[in-house]
This record gives sequence, structure tokens and C-alpha cells, in this order.
Amino acid sequence: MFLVRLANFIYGYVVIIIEGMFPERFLNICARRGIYLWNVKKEGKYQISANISVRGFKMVRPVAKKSRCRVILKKRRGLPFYVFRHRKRKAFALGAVVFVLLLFVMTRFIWVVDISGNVEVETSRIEKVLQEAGLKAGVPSMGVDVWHIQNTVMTRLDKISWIGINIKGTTAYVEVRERISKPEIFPKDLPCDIVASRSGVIESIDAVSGQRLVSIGDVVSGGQLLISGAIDSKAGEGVRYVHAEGEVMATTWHEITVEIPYREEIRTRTGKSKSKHMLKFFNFYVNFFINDRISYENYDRISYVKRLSIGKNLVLPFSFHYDNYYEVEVTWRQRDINEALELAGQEAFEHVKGIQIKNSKRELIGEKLKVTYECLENIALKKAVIREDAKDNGKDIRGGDN
Amino acid sequence: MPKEVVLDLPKLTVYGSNQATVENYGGIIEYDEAHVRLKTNVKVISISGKNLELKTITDVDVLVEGDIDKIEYE
Repeated sequence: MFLVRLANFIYGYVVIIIEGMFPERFLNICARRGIYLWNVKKEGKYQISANISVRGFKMVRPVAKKSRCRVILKKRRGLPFYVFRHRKRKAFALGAVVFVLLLFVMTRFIWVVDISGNVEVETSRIEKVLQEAGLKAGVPSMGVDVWHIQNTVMTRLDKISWIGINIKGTTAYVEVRERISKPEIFPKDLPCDIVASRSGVIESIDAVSGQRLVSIGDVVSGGQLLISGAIDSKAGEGVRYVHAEGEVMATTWHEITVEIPYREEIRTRTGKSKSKHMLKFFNFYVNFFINDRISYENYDRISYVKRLSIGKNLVLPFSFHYDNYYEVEVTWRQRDINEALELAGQEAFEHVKGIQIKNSKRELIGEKLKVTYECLENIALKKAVIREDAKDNGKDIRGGDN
Repeated sequence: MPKEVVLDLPKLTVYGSNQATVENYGGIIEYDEAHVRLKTNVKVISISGKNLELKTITDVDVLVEGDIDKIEYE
């Protein structure tokens, strides 16, 4: 039905009034001759209004004569008549043409680069690399070499393990996945010692290889040798170097001092606000304000951007920027002592997360809270062994044929 | 084979109470806002109601729109 109406509009039609004693006869003859009539409506006692195509209207005169009706042209409707009526308005026509052209041209460029999936690598950094590779707002979407850009980003940014670029309309969707960095592993084939990562009291030693140097109950300090990779052979053949391995559980003490948040900042809006509006097209900003000074001492700024787009993906290079400034009054609220201590305790606990805690002790030192956690943890830390024979020839520390 | 073609009978299609299509009709006998009478091969179909309009007229069918109260064969 809509298509029929659209076709009628494009080809143009006229509204006529049929006047006569028997307008039904007119309708019958028209139907028989293939003259299409629609929206036939009784207007008065002897009058009927109807729509008729331009082509049909030209054939209507003999029909009217035969049916003894008078046909009056009431209105001309549709595109051909509209264009004819406005044929002298050149600027209007030009505007219509420019509009279509502009729409056509503008949708052939990329206006938005949407980066998602990054957590540690900053968006601005990816943006910069993309820009150098040839993907930025304003480049023609046909000329974007996705392959090349993906490769460039992959080689330039080590942290990224995968990148996908999808161009939809005027938006380039860039999705990245970050590499999970591998933990530092001491090479298995190199000799090493195990030293204490921090001071503590040894609870258990489980040496898989290497020579134990400390025993249960010993107090060790950070950096102290626990399991040696150098084994003295009893047969007097000299020193043998191995890759020491083992677990050394020790009771350690973590002292954490945190500030007690006695006061809390409260920001309340006073109700006064100012707003700045800006229109951006391409890279130009048009300001809609004159006095751009914000006189408030403290304020919250909330900005949002409205982009002009056709549908979701065809974003056009026009956007409206709203900046709202709300004046705020900053007051300080005195916290309840228990509440403040609780918050400080939580903050301190964040430092020893993931470690088995045996005991904890809280101490107030002035404005600060000192928490001592007694923990049980593995303090084994691998460290490259310095060989005595290697020392002799001066360099080769890492070579390991022994 | 469809009957309206083989036997040359009128076919009446009614949607709700505001639209009726008469196919294979012979001609319009009377039309005003309250009545539409159509000649057919068998009988005269008379549609009465309020604000009746003939939405389309071709040589094979007529589409009547409006507040239809009654459809009769005379």
C-alpha cells in the first residue's frame, strides 16, 4: 500500500470533482476503459471527488461527455507538480542537490574510531599507533588497509596479542586483546641458590635439590642463603653446581602503617550551575558561550557529547558537546572512631592479600594505624649462583656444562 | 480452479467491519456515503453503512472502506 502511494506521489496525480446526475456512470465507464480511480468520496448530492493519475486525466474528457458529467480539476499533487511549482527557486534546488551530495560524500569517510578491550594499554596510545598506521577520523573508508594496520599495531605494541578492525558505516570498531605477561622463570638448566625473600623464622624446609644451610627454628634475614646450589663433594672432586629447588615456609611479619581517615569529604551541590555548549564539525569547534570563566571555587563538571548519526553506524562529523558545571560546597564530616579504624584496617589488609595470616595486631601511633600481620609464607627465591671457578676466568658466569 | 473465474461469480472479501473488496463485479449502480450498490452476475450486492468511500475502482474489483453496517444481496 505504501509503495502504491509512493508511486502515485512520484508520478503525480490530480484530485477531480465529478458533477452530474449520475456520477456512478462516470465511474463505471472509467473502470471499463482502464482509467484508475481511487479515494472516491461523495462530497455533495451531485458531487463526487476522486483521485486520478495524470495519464488518466487526459483520457477523461470523452468519458465525461458520455456520462453527462462535468469534471472539475481541484488539486494537482505529487512530485512533478511540486517541482514545477518551485522551478524558479534555484537556491532550493541547489540546496537539495548539495544535501544529497554531502550525505553521499560524508558517509564515505571514517569519523569515529572506537577502541575497546584494552585494560592496561591506554586508549590514547593505541589511537596514536592507529593514526600512524593510517586509521583516524577523516580518512576515506575505502583506503583503509585493515591488514596493514593490524600488522602495524601488533608489531608496535607488544602488549597486544590480538587486534580486530571492523568498519561499519563511518565507524571503525577496533577490538584488542592484551597479552598476559608470563611470570619470570629461572631457567631450569642453570645453577642457582635459594635465598630468603624476606626475614622470618623458618617453619619448614623442603629442599628438592641443593644443600640445606638452615634448619627449622632459625631466624633468617632477607637475602640470606637458604639452600645452596653449590654442593661440596665428599670425595674431594671439588664443588658441583646444581639448580637448587625447594620450598621454605617461614613465619614473617608485615608491618603496615596507614593513615586513619578521620574525616570524610562531602561534596554537595549548591544548586548553581553553568553550562557551556559547543558545536564541533570536523575538527572545528564553535562555542555557544561568551563568558567562558567558571567563577566557582569548587565544581563538578559533567560533559556529554551528542553525535549526529544516521542509524547507529553512520556517524557524521558533527557533534554537540555539553559541559555542565555544578558549583559544589566541600564540607568535612568527622567519622566515628570505630568506622575510621575499620576503614584503615581494610586498607592495611589490602597489602597482605593472598598471604596466609596467622595473627594480627593493631597499634595506634598518633594519627596513624600500625597493623602487624604474622604470616606464614614461602620465602624461597631463586638467585643465580656465583661460581668460584667462573670467577677465576673472569666472565662466563652463566655457562653451565658442569 | 477458482469459482469466481470458472462460474464468473462475484467474490466478496471483508476485513472486520470497515473494509470490503468485491471482485468480479459488473458495475456500480449507486454510490453515496450510506450505500454502495454493485451489479454482479447473480444478484445486486448492497453495502450500507456510514462514511463509505470507494478506495479503489478498477474494471475487476471495488474496494469499499468505511463504517459498514450491512451487506445484503438483493
